[in-house]
Amino acid sequence: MSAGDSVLKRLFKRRKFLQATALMAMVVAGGWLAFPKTANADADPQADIIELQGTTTPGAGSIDPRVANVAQLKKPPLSAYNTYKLLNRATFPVKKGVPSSYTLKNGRILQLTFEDMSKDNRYRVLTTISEPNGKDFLSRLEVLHGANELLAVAGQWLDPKHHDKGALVLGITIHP
Amino acid sequence: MSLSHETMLDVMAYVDGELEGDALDRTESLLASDEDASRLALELRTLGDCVRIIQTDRAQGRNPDEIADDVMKALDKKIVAIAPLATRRRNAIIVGSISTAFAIAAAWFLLVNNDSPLPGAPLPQTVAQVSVQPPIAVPAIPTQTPTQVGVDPEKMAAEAYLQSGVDIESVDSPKHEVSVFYVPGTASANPNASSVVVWIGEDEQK
Repeated sequence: MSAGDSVLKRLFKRRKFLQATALMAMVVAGGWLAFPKTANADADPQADIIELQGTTTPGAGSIDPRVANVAQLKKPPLSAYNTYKLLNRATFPVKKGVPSSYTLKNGRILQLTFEDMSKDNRYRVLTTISEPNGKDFLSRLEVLHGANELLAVAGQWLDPKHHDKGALVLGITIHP
Repeated sequence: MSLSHETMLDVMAYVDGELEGDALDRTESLLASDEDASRLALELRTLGDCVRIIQTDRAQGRNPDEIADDVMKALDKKIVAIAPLATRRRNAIIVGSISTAFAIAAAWFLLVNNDSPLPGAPLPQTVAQVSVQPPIAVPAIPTQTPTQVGVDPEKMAAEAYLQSGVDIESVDSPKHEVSVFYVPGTASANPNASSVVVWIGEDEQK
């Protein structure tokens, strides 16, 4: 083999290497662009909690403008109240297998635990609500959340000792 | 029950008298041939009948106990027939047993102003001002099986809702009554998807 042949062979090998590298880069970039980013099973999702005070007032009532886009409030059963006021809003991560706690306006403790992604690409989240003294109020609620879809939890008094203060309605949304 | 979400919406619209033309013909033929569809229509119609009894009684100024008696009498006389709802795929302690009784109770809570403490939920103080609508829109969650996922575009579209919306897999609340309401048309991403309202009663069950 002459020196010229050896140089040609090395150049050829280098071109093959560059071609292969470029091809791999294209495949990786294509895959990154082609697949939606909503289903990142490794990342911890975020939970958005809204706490609403639901009451019934004479007349047409009113809905806090900050939650005016929550369509569920205008449909049964939540339309049983014609007035909604946003009391609090919070966002926090929900980690896989680790309960995240949040104290509600009525003193109860809401816990959310991200379990896994379902086969249809939704977040499986375990929700519990306990009394301040640790007793269960809602022992277990396992929910499949589509990303950015609202789960409403109603039926609690805002203040169990003063029913005139109305009901506490929770909105729970999970998003990437 | 193995009805698709789209079919359930059609049946609901049929019971509400909202269908016309081809959609009406198609749904009527479905009801004639599909046992699940006809059972769902019966359940929805039963709910409507119960709500109408409650409305009529309220218009006549009857008190909540009398209204409840009338509903139970109607059930005894089989004026309205309550069919069992479909069970959920697993751990259906509550969800699978969302029965028409829950629907009656929910309708009653929404329509009747009662100052006495009742199990279930805090009641609005002036419920009479609330617009009257059937409280439960979808009484059962459609069960999708892998065989239903095929290349048929209509079936695929019907299945698409599964990838959005909210769905309850299990509920466990031994001391507090829980009702689950599926609210179609309120999920943000997909018009076929449902959002969910979980209603937990404050009063402890004995």
